[in-house]
Parts: sequence; C-alpha cells; structure tokens
Amino acid sequence: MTAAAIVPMEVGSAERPAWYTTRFGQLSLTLAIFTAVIVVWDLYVRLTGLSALVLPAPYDVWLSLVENTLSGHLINHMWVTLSEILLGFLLGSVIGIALGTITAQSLLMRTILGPYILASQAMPKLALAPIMVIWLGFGIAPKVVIAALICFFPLLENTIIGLTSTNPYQVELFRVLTASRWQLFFKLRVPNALPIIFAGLRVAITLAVVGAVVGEYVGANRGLGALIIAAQGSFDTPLMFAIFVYLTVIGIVLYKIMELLEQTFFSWRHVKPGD
Amino acid sequence: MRDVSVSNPKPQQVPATAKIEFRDVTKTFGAGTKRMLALSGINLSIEEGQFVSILGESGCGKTTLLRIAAGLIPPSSGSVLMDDVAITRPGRDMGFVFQQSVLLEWRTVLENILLPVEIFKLDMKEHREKALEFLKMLGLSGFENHYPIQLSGGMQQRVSIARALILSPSVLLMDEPFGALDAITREQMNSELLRIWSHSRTTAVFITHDIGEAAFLSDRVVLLGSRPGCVKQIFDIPLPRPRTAEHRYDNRFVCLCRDMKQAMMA
Ligand SMILES: Nc1ncnc2c1ncn2[C@@H]1O[C@H](COP(=O)(O)OP(=O)(O)OP(=O)(O)O)[C@@H](O)[C@H]1O
Ligand SMILES: [Mg+2]
Repeated sequence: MTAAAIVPMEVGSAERPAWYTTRFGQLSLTLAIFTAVIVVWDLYVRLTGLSALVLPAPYDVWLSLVENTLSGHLINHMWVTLSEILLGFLLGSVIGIALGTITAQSLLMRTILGPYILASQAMPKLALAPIMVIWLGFGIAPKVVIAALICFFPLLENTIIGLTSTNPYQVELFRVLTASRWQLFFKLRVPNALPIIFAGLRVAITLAVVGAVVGEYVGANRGLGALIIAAQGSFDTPLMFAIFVYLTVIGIVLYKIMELLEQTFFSWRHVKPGD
Repeated sequence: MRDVSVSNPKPQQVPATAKIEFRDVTKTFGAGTKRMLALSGINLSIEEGQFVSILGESGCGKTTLLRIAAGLIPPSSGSVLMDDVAITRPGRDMGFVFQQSVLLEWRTVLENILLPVEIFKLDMKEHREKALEFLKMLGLSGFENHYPIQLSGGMQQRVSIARALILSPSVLLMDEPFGALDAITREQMNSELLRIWSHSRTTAVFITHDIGEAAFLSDRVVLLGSRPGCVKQIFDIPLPRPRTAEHRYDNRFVCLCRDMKQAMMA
C-alpha cells in the first residue's frame, strides 16, 4: 500500500487556490484595509475640523510616535511595563498550573475548592488594583501581582480541565498495560493536558498586558500606563495614541511568541489528515 | 475435578491444555431494582494456541466476558483461570485490542506501538526492530513516523494490533476490532490478522457479531445467547490453515455460516 493510495485529497486542492489564501494576497489585503482606515480617519478629522485634543490626525500620531521613540522616552517606560507583564505572567502561570495540578489529583479537592475557584473567577480582578497599591506601594510589585492574579485563573481552570478530561478508553488501555499511577499521569494525563494548558497561556499573556497597564493607571510614575495618565493630564492626545500603538504591538508580539512555542511543541496537532 | 461441559446438549471433551478457563462465571451489574444479570453460568475452556471467536448479538455480554477475562472487572461469581491461575488483574502476558483503536494522538505510530515496552521498561532497541517488522507485515512500512490522525481507520486498528502483540503475549484478546470497518476492508483485515497471528500462534479470543468473520478466523466459534448472556452452542471450524479468501466460498464454510445463523436466530 502506498502513501498516495490512502492520502485523501484536500478539497479543491487541484484548482488554483483563491487569491486571498496566498501569503502575498493576505498581506496585500491587510495593507489595503489598513490604508483605507487611515485615509478615512484622516478625512474625518479634516472634514469635521475635530480638535487634536479629541482625535489627532494620523500624521500627528506618527510624529509623536517617532519623536518619543527616538528620544528614548517611550522605550524606557515600555521596559517597565514589559517586565511587569512578564513577571506577572510567569508568577500567575506557575502558581496556576501548580495549584491546578494539585486540585486535579482528587475529587475531594475539587469539591472543596470548587465554589471558591468559581467565586474568585467571577470577581473582577482589576477591581483589586486600588487595594494592591495600598498594600504594596507604588513600585512594580502591585502591577506584577495584578497581572499574576489575572493570569492565574485561566491556567488553574485549564490545567484542571486538561488533566481530568482524559479519554476513558485511553485510561483503560493504561490499566490493561498495568501502568502505575505515575505512568498514567506522565504518559497520559500530562500530554493530554498540555494543549489545553497552552491555550490558557495564550489567553493569559494578553490578559497580563491589561493587568499591568490598569495597575499603572491606579498608581505609578513609570510604565506605559502611567504615561497615558500623564499624557491625559497634559492634554497630549497624540502621545496617548502613540502609546496605544506600543501596547498593541507588545500584545501581538507576545501572542505570536506563544503561538510559535505552541506550534513547535505540538507539531502533531498541526498535521492534517493527508499531510 | 474439572467440569468444562457447556450449557450445550453435546458435552465438550476435557481439553488437555486449557489456556483460559471460565468456571461458572456470572456477572450482575447494578443493585436493587436496577440489578441486571449480564452473564449467567458461563463454562468455557479455550485451548492453548487456538483461535476462538465469541459470537453474539449486540448487548449479549461479549465485552463483559472479555473484560472479565482480561482482569479488568471481577466476575460476580465463578472464576476465570489462565494457566490454572485465577485472573484477578491485567498482566503482561495479555494483549488487548479495543473496539476503537485507542491510540495516543500525540505519539507517532512507532511510539504508540512501543508504549507497552515503555510501561514495562523493557529494552527499546530490540523492540523497535520488532515493531518495524510488524509494520512491514501489516503493510504499514513507511508510516512509522506518521501520527494517528494521518491514518485511515483500518490502518489505525492495525497499529493497535501491533501494539497488543509487541510483547509477544500468550493471549490476545480482541473486542470487535473490525466492527467499524466496511465489509471489504474487514475481509482484508481478517486475512492480515491471520497472517500475523500464524507467526505467533498465541491463544486468541476474538469478539464479533459477524458470522462470516467468526467462521473465517476461528478454530472454534462460541455462540452466546442473550439476556442473560450464556453459551448457546459451540461450533468447530474444520477448515484447514492457512486460510485464504477462497475459503469463504467453500461449501463447508457456507454451510457452517448457515448453521450458525440458524442457531443465532433460534
Ligand atoms: N458497567 C456497566 N454497568 C451496568 N451495566 C453494564 C455495564 N457494562 C455492561 N452493562 C450491561 O451489560 C450488558 C452486556 O453489555 P456488553 O457491553 O458486554 O455487551 P456486548 O455484547 O459487548 O454488546 P455490543 O456488541 O453492543 O458491544 C448490556 O445490557 C449492558 O447494558
Ligand atoms: Mg461490546
């Protein structure tokens, strides 16, 4: 039996792929829409004569972005925020995964902790920011803790789900093979949970950005969030927009890094029938 | 004193070398009003090196019987012996093939076949060779580094057969392994199973609800009756081995299938 005989043909692969599925096509489409948005934005500001205080023109934002980047102003604050994000993400994820692993071990633990986990999940973590500032001061610590808190729950939940949602037939297979509890855990439950845990990490990294910035809103003199508040005070709306661009790029880059890690880790998830 | 006669008008002869022996096995599930008798008074002896099929309609207790034989669940009364020792839990000497090919989707074909070797911490290198040989025998050469999702249902089931055989168990238990396959693929798989089995000649217990499949594969076919599951009749299949697809058109084969069908309907 040859490989060609069993490999199902991908639907429509014999025809020419649609232009928007090619790499070049996708890039052109994205660029075209981006340009259109900028043009509409610019026209809107010009035609309505809106004050730059409310909505600056794209070119003003660009000027502010270049100027504040070259002066090192934005970069300095970015490092502060970035370290809060990464430390919070690391702390929250590690604790979330560890506690999730412990909780997944026994039904009793899940029963005892269940209501508290639900309650703390329902509670908006950002609402805790002011009390964190009171407890931990104006430095980096309260932001790290808020980012960690917000990262903690998706990982706790996904770790528990991942470790407990094992296919019963696969569990039976391990019983037939007389596998020990450890073998069952490391050779079945963990590999089964990893993709779900990674999905949690992907969610957590974007949430960490929100946590760090909101933490800075509440009380800080450094970081991009603090800079936004300062820009608000000095009516420097173009600078605010420049910071939004920074935050968006940070979010995208971190998300892409997680995605890349995931793809290298779980190559088996990305093979399609027929590859 | 070993009474191995079955609840069958013709008493069976006492086999000299019983590999697996069911003695008065009954199994009830649930309690109170939900209590139901799944198996009742099963006496059955399976000789060493034989290929025995267990045939019966859906829900008659075939899987339950096999799970008891594998030591996965205990019988409610009676006992199952393997080499004259009661089976209380699964052992290394037993290969099990599930109705679905229960493969681990994050492992390649080769890694799946070698899972038992890993669990029992045996020599990887030696078994790797063996696994590759199995793959060749099953027409899966070149697929060792594929993931299960890349294989057809029939190919996946072949992988799980190779996994069950990798440690050369003396008993191979199979629970309707080809139940989900189309008729043509199923017949092809039957021939392949016999080919690989003839190399090892382990004692094989094969569950099916397909009369033709049971007759083609087996030395003996045990027909189970329903509600509660019990041994209804045992058929010896005198066709010579190795068996080929031609045997399916043999007069004896056709007559046997007709008899089995009549017995099943009765
Ligand atoms: N764990 C269980 N708890 C309660 N009842 C069960 C359990 N396992 C099986 N049964 C019952 O025992 C009977 C026999 O089930 P079993 O799975 O052995 O049938 P089967 O012959 O394998 O059927 P099929 O051909 O459909 O697989 C069924 O009526 C089923 O409902
Ligand atoms: Mg069954």
